[in-house]
Amino acid sequence: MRKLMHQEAGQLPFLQLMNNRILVYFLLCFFISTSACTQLTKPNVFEPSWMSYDAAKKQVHFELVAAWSANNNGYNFNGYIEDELSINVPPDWDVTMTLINLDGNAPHSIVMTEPYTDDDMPDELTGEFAIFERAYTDEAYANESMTMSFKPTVGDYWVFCGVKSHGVNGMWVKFTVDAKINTPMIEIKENLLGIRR
Amino acid sequence: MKKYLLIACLLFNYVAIAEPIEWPSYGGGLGQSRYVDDNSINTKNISKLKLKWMFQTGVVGSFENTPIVKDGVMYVTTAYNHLYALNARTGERLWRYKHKLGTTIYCCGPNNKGAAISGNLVIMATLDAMLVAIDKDSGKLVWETTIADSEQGYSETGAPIIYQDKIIIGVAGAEYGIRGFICAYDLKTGALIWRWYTIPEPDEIQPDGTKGWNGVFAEKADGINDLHRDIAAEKAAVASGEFDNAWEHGGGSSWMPVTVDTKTGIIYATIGNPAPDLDGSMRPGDNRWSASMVSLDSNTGKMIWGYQYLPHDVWDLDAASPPILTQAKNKQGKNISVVVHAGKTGWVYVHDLKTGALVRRSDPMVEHKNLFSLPVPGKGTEMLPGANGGVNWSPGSVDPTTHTVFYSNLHQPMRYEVRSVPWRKGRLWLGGAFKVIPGEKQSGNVSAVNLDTGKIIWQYITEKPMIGGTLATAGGLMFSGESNGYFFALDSQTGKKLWQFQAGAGVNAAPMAYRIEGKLHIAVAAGGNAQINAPRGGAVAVFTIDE
Repeated sequence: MRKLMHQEAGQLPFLQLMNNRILVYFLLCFFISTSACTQLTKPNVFEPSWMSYDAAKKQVHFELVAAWSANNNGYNFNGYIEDELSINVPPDWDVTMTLINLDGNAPHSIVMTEPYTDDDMPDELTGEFAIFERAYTDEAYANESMTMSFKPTVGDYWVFCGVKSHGVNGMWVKFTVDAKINTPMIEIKENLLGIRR
Repeated sequence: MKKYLLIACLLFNYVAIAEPIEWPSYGGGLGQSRYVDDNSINTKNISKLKLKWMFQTGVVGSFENTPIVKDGVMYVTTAYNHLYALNARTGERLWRYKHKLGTTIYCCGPNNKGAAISGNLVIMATLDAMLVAIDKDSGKLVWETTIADSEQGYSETGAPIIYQDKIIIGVAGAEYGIRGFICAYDLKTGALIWRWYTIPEPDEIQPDGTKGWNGVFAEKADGINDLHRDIAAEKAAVASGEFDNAWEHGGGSSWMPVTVDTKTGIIYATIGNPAPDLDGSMRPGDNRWSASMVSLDSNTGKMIWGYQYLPHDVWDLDAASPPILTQAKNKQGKNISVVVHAGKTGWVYVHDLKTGALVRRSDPMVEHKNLFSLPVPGKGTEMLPGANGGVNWSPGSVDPTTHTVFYSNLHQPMRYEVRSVPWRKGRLWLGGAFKVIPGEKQSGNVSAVNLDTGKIIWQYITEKPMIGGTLATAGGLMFSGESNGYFFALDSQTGKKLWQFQAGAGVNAAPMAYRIEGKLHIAVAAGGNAQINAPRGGAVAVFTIDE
């Protein structure tokens, strides 16, 4: 059998070369597509209702509601805190975020930051400390909304509430600019309650 | 003879009018009536009231201060614990003291309500839970002492009260699971004299004979409104022993200034919410003495009586607005001494001063909807009043001649949701969230309530929720301010607006009055509020009729 295959291939060297290339392309495409499918078919990786994008223009919009649920005393974005949520976008996309505050008792904000450890996490942050230019909102009070736009570079970041003591109380989520993905998506931890999907 | 009598009368009147009226304490006198017995500014001439001077502190934050005035000097505290001494006649700055803050953890803005003065010392409590004594002439620090560990979430936003040789003050921080207290310090040295914990230890015998903070498992508020408690489940939870140590983080801040009856030396204080605010499953029982009024002996701190407005509060409807000492009719129509409080519940409570017994409860000053309903797991519940009240911390005032009180109210529909979380040192611990309801209109009002009947006499409706407080005068006026920057005077009998001034920032502080050089002055801080996002500023405005 092995001999026969060799003979057939030997009869058509050009075809053999083409076949190898096709095979490589096929395998590569298969790998990428199955990989992406696997990602999107995981229950914790999806395109949420609060995200919209235009792939052609490379623009994505996220709507983040502070105090979406009672999680973490209301100090959450769409019900998520800390590493419960990772927002992932491809490189070179324009990102817009709208913050809506439903918290009846506290203002909230967004400042894009580098990730912190427990020891170096700031008690409060204003816009001048945003890691990308203009990547922050002012404090939004109850029923108010604020919007910000920025173009992030590849790396790991946080979406951080800059109001005093809110970040150290867990009001941040992860934000990653990932060169391995083509469209924005989010990844969440499993078995979360009261989250916005 | 008649001629001499007339001259004597005129002379007496002149002396009486010329005598300065001071405002040496947060609520004016230690009874916190916020009533000034001077009718020189009245319903007839209020239109002539003009700005005399305005002082810009330069500190833009949340401005909840009521200035105090003593010996012609006004003392003003601001957000982040700046303390200013001003010439009360001109507004000229005499000195400024800035407290160097350490760790601060606070829920609702970098606020300070005010200072106190006695002898040569001006006392201020600080956001990092310290007490500082400043020389009134030089503005230099004389002594300072730590009240509690600010890294655990203890903070001071209230005004200290000085009675005889003691400084009396409570503490804030129930949102972080502190154990509240009221304490007394030596005025001269800053040494602690006594400390009374608002949340009793398990074996502590209470004035009614119960032990600890479990209370009597009351099913109704004021014996009237069903609190919808599952008493059997709570008793089982207590019996399980799982929550034996819950009292250690039981909350019960006393975050507004106490009131003192100088005739008896008895202190009256309002006590705030239990911790965690919304999650009652972690603290079965009545959670005494949260959401209560208590009286204490000022010499020893020993508790005399307590009245719990909301046993096992799970809505953050705590008791904050300072007690007022005055007179009102009892149920038999006889004038008695009473202590008055207006709650986040929107009711005015009239208590017998001696026993604490509830004489009456007023008509509600704000809309009640789904009152005391419990949140449905995963859904919550919509309820009125919202978590800010009713009456929040705003001090009321009383006209003792008509037995009328005046209170600022909020109308903020909210959704209460519960989510259990464990206590962690220095971390917010609400046990859920208070959420606004998109599209639901918010508003406010000033209500005049007859203490003899509990009936509302009039209401002045405002576009925004009211936080700040009121001042009543013998001139038939009631002063208050709004988040939109207007400081205004109403006819205290009718509620009709007679005068207003645009201060340029939210007027969310209780006004005060003083008489200097024979002229009554009205003063108010205009610097907005963090909790209701009223436009910030940092001015003190002083008004008089200058003719």
